[in-house]
Amino acid sequence: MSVLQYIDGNSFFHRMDPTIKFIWTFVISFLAFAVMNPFFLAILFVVQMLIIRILAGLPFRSLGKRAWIAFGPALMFFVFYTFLYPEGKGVLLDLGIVKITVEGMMYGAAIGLRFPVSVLMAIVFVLTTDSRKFVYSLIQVLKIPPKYAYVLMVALRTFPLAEEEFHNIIDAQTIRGMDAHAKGIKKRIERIRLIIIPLMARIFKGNLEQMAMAMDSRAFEAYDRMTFIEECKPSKWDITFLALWVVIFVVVIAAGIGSFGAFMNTYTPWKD
Amino acid sequence: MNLTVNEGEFLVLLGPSGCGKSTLALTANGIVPNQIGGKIAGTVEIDGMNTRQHAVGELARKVGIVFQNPDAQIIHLHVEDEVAFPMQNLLVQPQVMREKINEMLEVVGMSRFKKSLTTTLSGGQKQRLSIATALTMDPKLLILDEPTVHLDPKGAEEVIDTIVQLNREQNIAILLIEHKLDEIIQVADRIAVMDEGVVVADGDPRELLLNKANYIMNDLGLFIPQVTEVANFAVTRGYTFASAPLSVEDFPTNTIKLRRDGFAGGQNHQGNVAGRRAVIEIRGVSFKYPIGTKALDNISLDVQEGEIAALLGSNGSGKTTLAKILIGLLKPTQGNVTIRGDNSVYDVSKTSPKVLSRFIGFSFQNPENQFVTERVFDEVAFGLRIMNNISEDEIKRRTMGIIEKFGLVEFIDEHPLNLSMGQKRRLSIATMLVLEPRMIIFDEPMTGQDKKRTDFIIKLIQDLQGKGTTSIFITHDMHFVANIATHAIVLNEGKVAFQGSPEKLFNSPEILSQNSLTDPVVHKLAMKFDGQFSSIITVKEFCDVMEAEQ
Repeated sequence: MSVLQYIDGNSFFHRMDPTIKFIWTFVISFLAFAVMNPFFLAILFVVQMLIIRILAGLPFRSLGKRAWIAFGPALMFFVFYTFLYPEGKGVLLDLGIVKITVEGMMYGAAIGLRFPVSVLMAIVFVLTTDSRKFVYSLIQVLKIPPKYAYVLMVALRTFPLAEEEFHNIIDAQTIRGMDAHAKGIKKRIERIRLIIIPLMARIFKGNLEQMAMAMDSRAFEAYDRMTFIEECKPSKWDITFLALWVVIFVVVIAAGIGSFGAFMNTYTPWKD
Repeated sequence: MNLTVNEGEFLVLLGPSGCGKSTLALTANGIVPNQIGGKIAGTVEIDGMNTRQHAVGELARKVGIVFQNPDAQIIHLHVEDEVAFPMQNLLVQPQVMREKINEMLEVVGMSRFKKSLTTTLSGGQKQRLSIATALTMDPKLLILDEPTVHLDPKGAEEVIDTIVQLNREQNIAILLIEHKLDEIIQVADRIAVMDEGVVVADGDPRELLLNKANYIMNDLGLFIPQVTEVANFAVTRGYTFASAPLSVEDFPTNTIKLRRDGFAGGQNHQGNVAGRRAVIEIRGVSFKYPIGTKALDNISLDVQEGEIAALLGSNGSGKTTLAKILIGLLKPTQGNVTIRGDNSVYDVSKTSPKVLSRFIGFSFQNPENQFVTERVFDEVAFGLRIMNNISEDEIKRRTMGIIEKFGLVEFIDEHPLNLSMGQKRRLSIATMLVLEPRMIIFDEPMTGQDKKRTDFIIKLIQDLQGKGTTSIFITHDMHFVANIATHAIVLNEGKVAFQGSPEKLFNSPEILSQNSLTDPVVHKLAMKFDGQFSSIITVKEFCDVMEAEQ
């Protein structure tokens, strides 16, 4: 099973229009990166836990190992800044070269919490969004031309085929005597090159070229628009939900809790 | 070239690999030259529409096309979406679309898969899905480019039945590109034969096969139906037929004499021979993939020295898993496998694939996956070079010897990926044979090959057998099994369902039907003469018996 795979369901998030949900994940990520206040980010994190459980209907265990994509970097940054923050005055522990300070921990918590807040919502998007509906919504709601939206559809279809081809090539080359665990940078680059070239040949010549012909022969782009079996249209609840978060974002910026500068300024400590 | 397909006609197009059949198919729906370019002279008209004056999208309403590879033509992850796709492009209204999806899935017998994921379908189901998709545009002509080449016999039968039904009940003209005629010859209205870009023969199947069978088979290197081969031989021996038989049903039993008490059997089909030593011993082997699928379940069998063993079974029966265990790519979760090397016996669980590759070669279904260098010469020499103990002069001598044998001398400096598919297949086998392995495993060596290339591989395997090399091949091609195998092993859901001679297998109708297999047409014909049992499983044997009776 793939690390990130859609989980069928009927929650508010499952029913939400994928384009609205997609925009919302960006809003919440911008919000997380605009704020450097660890208390605000902690509240945001708790709200998100409630969203995962109540609005997306996902048990926490469904995040499983995927949660490490979010919590791994968070932990790493927290530990890094706790020990290496240079300007802290409220010393909690003095180890000589390294000082653990209140400011350092707060700064580490702020930087670290950005990851679960933004990454977890991206994971929730993937787990609650049927990829086909996302493509259809991009065309119908976001008015993206079908030829661009279908790049995503073909990519989704090609991924499992490419994965299979990759394993076939590794197997084939292993029994030719190729060393699977090549040592040294030069040998490793050579090994990767010998896998990539046939893989690309198989994917482009074998699959993508024929998929393109299959699409053409099924009248793709006969017109500059398409009709759909399922109509994608955001509900009033979808729009209200997105609007609410946009308002929160605007208020946070207006109230000075966050700023656009915080995106770039990753080294400004949390303190006034 | 000139070719006409009439309304409601079933036309079969034959031709050697690379003769232009697939290009012709793409020309008919305008992809050539409108989409992928090229220079075209003359005109192609589909139902009065000149393909150069109309977009591919417009022509798609007239011509549906189904390609060879079931996976590479399905764009969507859901069956329903895939069928809807052409209608979505042609701005069909949702309600009409829903009705048409149900109708077309019903036509191809796929209604119960409407909500399924396309990735979960079998090869035959994927091809029927592609047919349903093409049908939603109400085409007048359906072109199918070797649609059964990757399928097991059951999947192939499903697809052929669907095509015939469409032609007969919905009057859709069919242009079917195929290498093998046995299963379709009775339903074809016409056969056209192509060679080097031109139609060299065209006409009624019966007349064409009566008058030009030798030209098609011997000069062009193509398969003709086994029944026709037998009938043509009978004619050379003075027998006469009121009309040329094309199928077993057509063949009159009162025309020729054939002993009814069975035939003593060809020398090839003896099965395991007592006294020969086993080079592969498999004892109680089970294998479970990490996701929990049990692929092999307590398998025990031997493969003897010099044997040509066919590994058979429907898709997913465990054939490829077993082959991967034999070459050390997978380790059994239970049981053990031993391989007899030069002077020692190796436990595959404890031996690396690199060491095993000295004794056992493997030819993958897609030869290009195996290439690891950028020159044909280096590709063949690669296996010798990594052995470290062979001089460069010896490497050059052995490499050139095998390159000459395989007719690749003129491509010696070419990149392996630039070769044609037939040349790639020969190169992949050459890379193994240069190491002089004691055993070789071939995975679907005959896929998409015409008779000339099939004969080359048959001769090669037989030559290897003469030198004591053991061959195991995975295949769905029962004619190939009959012609070459000395032993047949059938797997079903990871268990050994049968092992014995091909002759015994083809006379076991229950085993065949339980495992989605079928016996060769010539065996069916022999059974018509001798209803209980027949050892005749190849055309040559049938002809030999006929001649002996005269």
